Amino acid sequence: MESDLVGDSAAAFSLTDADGRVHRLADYRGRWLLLVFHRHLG
Amino acid sequence: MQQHEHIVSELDIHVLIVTFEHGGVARAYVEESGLPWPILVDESRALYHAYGMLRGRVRDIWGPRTVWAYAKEFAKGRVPRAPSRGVDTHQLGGDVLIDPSGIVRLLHVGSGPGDRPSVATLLAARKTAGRSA
Repeated sequence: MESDLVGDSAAAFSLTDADGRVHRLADYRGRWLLLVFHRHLG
Repeated sequence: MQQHEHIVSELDIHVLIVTFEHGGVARAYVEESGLPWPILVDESRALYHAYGMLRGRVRDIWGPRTVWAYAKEFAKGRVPRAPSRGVDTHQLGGDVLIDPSGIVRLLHVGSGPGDRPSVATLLAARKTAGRSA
């Protein structure tokens, strides 16, 4: 299922990783970024 | 995805994994799987919802495509990790490719565990957008 959001600005985020480090969308400006959303960790 | 680590590396694509399961489960998963990328925790699922990844229908989650995906894993000798007790197994996943200027170049919402864009699709989106970005 593809989306109409292609071509739009990415949604901003500020999330913590498993090691406690915070990652923001802005941190990756200037780089290609692939977000892989898991259904569940299994 | 880990099978294609070298490909995303060659394409200079930074990968972030996103889960809605809490940090303890995420940490355990990283240790067990040896995941080479950070795993971000989105317990509120705000980012999931921002990209249209809601809860799937039973027939999509447990349909033929799911059975086939798990059969392929078993055939490779890989036993899928059982979901954590009480976890929402109907939450949909997906993939979002974002270019260096912050524009979404590919967004795929999976209908089940076997429904992911191919590496070729990611490559095509990267190359196509790279010409126009």
